Amino acid sequence: MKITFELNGALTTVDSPPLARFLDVLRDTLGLTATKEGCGEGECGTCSILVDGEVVNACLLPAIQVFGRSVETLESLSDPAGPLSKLQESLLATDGAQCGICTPGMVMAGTAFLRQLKATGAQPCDRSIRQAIAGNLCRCTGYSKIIEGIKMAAAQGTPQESAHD
Amino acid sequence: MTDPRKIEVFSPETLSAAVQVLAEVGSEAHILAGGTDLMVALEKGFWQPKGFVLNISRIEPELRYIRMEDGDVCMGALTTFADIARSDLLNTEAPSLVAAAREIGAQQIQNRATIGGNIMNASPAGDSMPPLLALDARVVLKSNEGPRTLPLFSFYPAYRETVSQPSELLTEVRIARRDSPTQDYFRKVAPRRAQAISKVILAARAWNVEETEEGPRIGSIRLGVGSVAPTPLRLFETERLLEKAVLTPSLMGAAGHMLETEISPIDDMRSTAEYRRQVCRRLLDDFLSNLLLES
Amino acid sequence: MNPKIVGTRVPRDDGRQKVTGESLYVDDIDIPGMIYGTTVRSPVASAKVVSVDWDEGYDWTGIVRVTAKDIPGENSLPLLIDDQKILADRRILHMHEPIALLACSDPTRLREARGHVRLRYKSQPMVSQIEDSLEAEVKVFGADNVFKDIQISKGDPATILPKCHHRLEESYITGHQEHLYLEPQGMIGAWQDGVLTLTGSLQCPYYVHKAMKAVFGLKDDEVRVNQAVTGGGFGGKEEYPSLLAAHVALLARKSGTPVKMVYERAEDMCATTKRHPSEVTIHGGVDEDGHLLALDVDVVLDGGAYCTLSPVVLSRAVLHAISAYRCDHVAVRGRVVATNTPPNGAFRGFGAPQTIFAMERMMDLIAETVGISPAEVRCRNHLQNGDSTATGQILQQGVSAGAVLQKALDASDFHSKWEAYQGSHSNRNRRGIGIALFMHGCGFTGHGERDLKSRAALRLFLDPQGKPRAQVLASTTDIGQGMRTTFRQIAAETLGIAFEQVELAPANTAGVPNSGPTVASRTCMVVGGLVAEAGKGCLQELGFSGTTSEVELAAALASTGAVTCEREYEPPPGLVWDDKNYRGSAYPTYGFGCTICEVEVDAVTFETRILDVVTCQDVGRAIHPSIVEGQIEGGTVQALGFAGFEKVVMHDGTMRNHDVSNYVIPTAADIAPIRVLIHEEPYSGGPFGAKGIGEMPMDGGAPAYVAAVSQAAGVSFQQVPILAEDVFAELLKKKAVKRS
Ligand SMILES: Cc1cc2nc3c(=O)[nH]c(=O)nc-3n(C[C@H](O)[C@H](O)[C@H](O)COP(=O)(O)OP(=O)(O)OC[C@H]3O[C@@H](n4cnc5c(N)ncnc54)[C@H](O)[C@@H]3O)c2cc1C
Ligand code: FES
Ligand code: FES
Repeated sequence: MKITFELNGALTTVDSPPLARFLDVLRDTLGLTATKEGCGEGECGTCSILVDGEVVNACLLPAIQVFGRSVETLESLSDPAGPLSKLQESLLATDGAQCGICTPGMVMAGTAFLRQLKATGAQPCDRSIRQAIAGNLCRCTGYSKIIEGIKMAAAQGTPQESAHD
Repeated sequence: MTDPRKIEVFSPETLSAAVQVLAEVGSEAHILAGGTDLMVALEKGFWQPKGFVLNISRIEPELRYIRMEDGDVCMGALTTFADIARSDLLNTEAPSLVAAAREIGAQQIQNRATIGGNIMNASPAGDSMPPLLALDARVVLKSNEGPRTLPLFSFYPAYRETVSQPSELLTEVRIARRDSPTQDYFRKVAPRRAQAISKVILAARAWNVEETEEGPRIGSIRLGVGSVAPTPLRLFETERLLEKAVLTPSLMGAAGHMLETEISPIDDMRSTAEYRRQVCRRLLDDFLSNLLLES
Repeated sequence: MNPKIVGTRVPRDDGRQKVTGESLYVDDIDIPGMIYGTTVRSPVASAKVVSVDWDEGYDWTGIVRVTAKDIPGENSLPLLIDDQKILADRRILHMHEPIALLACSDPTRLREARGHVRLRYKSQPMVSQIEDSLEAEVKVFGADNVFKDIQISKGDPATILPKCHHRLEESYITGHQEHLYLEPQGMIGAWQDGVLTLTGSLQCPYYVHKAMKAVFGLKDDEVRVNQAVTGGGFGGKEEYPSLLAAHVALLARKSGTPVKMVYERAEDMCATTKRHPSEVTIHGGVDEDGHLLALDVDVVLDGGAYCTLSPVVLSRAVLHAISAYRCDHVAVRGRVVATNTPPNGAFRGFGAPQTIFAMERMMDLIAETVGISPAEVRCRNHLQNGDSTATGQILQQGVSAGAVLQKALDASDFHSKWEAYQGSHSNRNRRGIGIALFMHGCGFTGHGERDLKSRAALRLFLDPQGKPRAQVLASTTDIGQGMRTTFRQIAAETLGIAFEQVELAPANTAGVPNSGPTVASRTCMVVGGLVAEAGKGCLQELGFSGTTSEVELAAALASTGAVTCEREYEPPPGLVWDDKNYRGSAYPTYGFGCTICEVEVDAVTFETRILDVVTCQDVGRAIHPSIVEGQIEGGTVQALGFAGFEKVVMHDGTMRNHDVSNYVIPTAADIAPIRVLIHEEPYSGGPFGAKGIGEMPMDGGAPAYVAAVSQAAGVSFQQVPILAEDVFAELLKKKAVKRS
């Protein structure tokens, strides 16, 4: 069936079985492979994307439910050879990506968290960051450098900015 | 075999349209809310839908809310755990439910998982049911013939079964506003701190705990447990022992003993029956001893 | 000269692609005409195969089917010994053993077709664990089920042990551990003009290359192996990918199209290798003050149904059995035995975490028996320069056991915490602190490196702008450990050019020399060393004795043309190893580490919370400090998972909890920040002094965690994993909790 939604800012229509995993729509139909599949059961978070600004697992999302929604994937955060997002820059600086398979999901979960901080003006702490990425497993880093990266990105967002955002 | 993902999906825009469909062909309908249970079941082949799927996610305007109504706190069936986690109203009225919501899955799951789906999925390990039982929650089921409201404790006749009929949709969960002081408790015991299936859950609420000469006296009490029986369970007998009674060490012992007779935990790959039984009892002890301290 | 690039945190070579999602993993690669493959697996653990039939009522059009009959040559996967079948034909030795292969352009039909393959078999008795295997009533392998038996002896423990002031005996158990690399195994195979090309998630391109040559009777240049960006390996993608390669190659051969196979998560968990479970018994003898006098260690590993790399894993296990301690009278016996469970294989640490766990718990037992602290017993017994190991290797220099121990003790405030937590079991939540001291042999065991004759090369040339550039040629793979970055640093530093002026040739067997497998913490130390040597060679060829200015280098290159220099590994002088008797230099050098872990055990639920982790590790030289920290942090968390979270529930030869919900690895919320202290005791044989670092972080977490939980709970544990249920059961046994 035809499903229309906003994908990374552009109105998009796909023809997909209604209960197809949106993850497969992204990867197979649309060729957007930044979103990964680590488990297919909602546990690992490698397939994290944003729907209407909230982080969700694309492997649990039936295609039909993106109808009329706004979807953001990792591809929306930077252009090839263009500048990176603050979080991407920070993760690069702290060496937050080892094998990199969890990284797309981490970036999306981290982005949702940072936007939320900005909206509320809250300060992140180790605990709240750990909670924010608890749905994203990483087998390589032990999480420290990812948390450092999120902290670094948060420190760059000024409170003034958040007041007007 | 046809591809289940290609099954027909009907996505009504209004509650009345959904209920109408259920009235006509309810026995062939599979209701889809946030999909966090169903999509896993589909992927693993546990769920092979026949007939059609009724996707209720577009009725959000009618079914996603947390509000006061007639002295009750009401939650629409499509209320997500993220909604619950950030609700000030629930934080005041139902702190144990808020605590449960914050421990469900992780952010990605909380953003999608609905309270209606949790209740209807009827897993004995579902995290929202023990607090809802402790909060004396009632659920509202709607069919073509109108709504019926029933207490959650009467909702689960057997393992993964509910008394809901194919023509009915769960639309709302209601909790009476608290009219006197309470002490609330929620504790989920799980193998890790997020993305974890519960091994034991205890939620409790005590009303009107007063200090007496012999010790604190509980006005009334509700106890809900999870993962220790085939269904989410309210511990009626244990409550009866404790209600209006003065908490003494011997009463606590008797209550613990009663709890053990009410639950029926099993050994599985996640835990042992013995652990679940003893820890469930210890959680009750923990709740009761804190009453001793606080009052 | 002060290094300018080595020791700095240059941006990771592949960092940008990884944070943008541009890196292509196997599942992201699409080749025109490619179809999908799947594996039909055995539903029994031990059986005789009667037949493999196709459901006649099913429509098989468009589905390619392969059984053992389609294998052109011998049906065996070449590794150490050739016992493992590519597809089971007569006997089934473990659950989920591959029996047939299918491929189709439609993944949904493929899944469905899998249910229409009929295996007829006669069940056979099975061996599910070590005890049954040792009894050898049922035979899985040979006459006695023993894949390998190794003995080490030094001095005369049989005479000394009985005379010791304190004699102690204890047995220790460790369970399976699943790698759970977040990218499952995957491979693409394609044939064109008689050449087989494989692209996969893998650690060792030349392992696959060698295996495919044998299976399909091909020449060197008829097999090409490319590494796709690999989403974690940890040893799990060392030997296993050869089997997957054979499978996709068979399907691609029969179908005439490229075939991609990516395992589903459950399949990956059920069918692929895991860490070897172990049972280690130690008899120890010490004097009144707790000095080690004699040790007798018996190690048994569960190898699973086929040999894989088990003998080598066993070798590292026995060589680390005495760990970082001095003891003059030692006997170690190790065996790895067969069971009807999926074959176990390489996993970070390679046998060492198992024996080190046992030895560290023994040290704690000694401390308790003698009445000193766990820190003190380690201070009294750790290796020092001039001491000899169990194999009689004299460690002349670079023994940093004492230094790392001291640094970790200081940073963690061990002494006062340990005192405070001792005996104070009245609080609601009880705390404990535990320590582990360990060492890890760097590189291959014994003559491994010498026999391997690894080679790596550097090509130095002028780019179109007239700037000198270098290309590193090695088959070593980056599996997240950062090798692409460290090799560029080493090359740049050696040649005296900028990091940006060095690039890596793709890890493709057609284009780079065989620098050996990406295993055994040998990448930086051994292959990185070859890169440095090749760099020096390039400079010499251009007439320089060391680094020079870029202008001079450019001028020399302009007149000479591009130079390429290849270097082959040469063992350091004085390295003598007797493989028959397990005597001599087992490893060229050792890294040392100390991990301290502090926990709190919940008095109501028996759950453990990690409060603090400090680890100090001697890496020789940190070529890239944050890459090194990342290895240590990640390895330590994996070790904590092994210790306190990850339990493979093996039942009737199958992993019951084969999903990410029920096999529990730590999330960010479960882990305290890991405080990493890097100690640098340079090794003259490594590039800029670097030692191996990949595996050592896996060694210390488990014993430190278990010691901490033991102190907190007031009962001593001798196994991993320990879950809340285990703490509860043990306390119940000791009547430390009331049973109603
Ligand atoms: C990774 C992961 C972690 C999880 N962690 C937890 C956890 O910690 N605790 C926990 O309790 N659960 C957990 N779950 C389970 C799941 O998220 C919850 O049960 C969730 O509340 C289900 O809601 P849903 O809207 O996604 O339901 P769906 O999957 O859409 O539906 C679930 C069931 O309810 C029925 N249903 C849904 N809504 C209605 C309605 N309004 N009327 C009638 N029937 C209806 C459906 O037909 C279906 O049978 C987890 C799941 C995953 C994948
Ligand atoms: S693939 Fe979606 S959560 Fe793992
Ligand atoms: S970097 Fe490999 S899983 Fe996170």
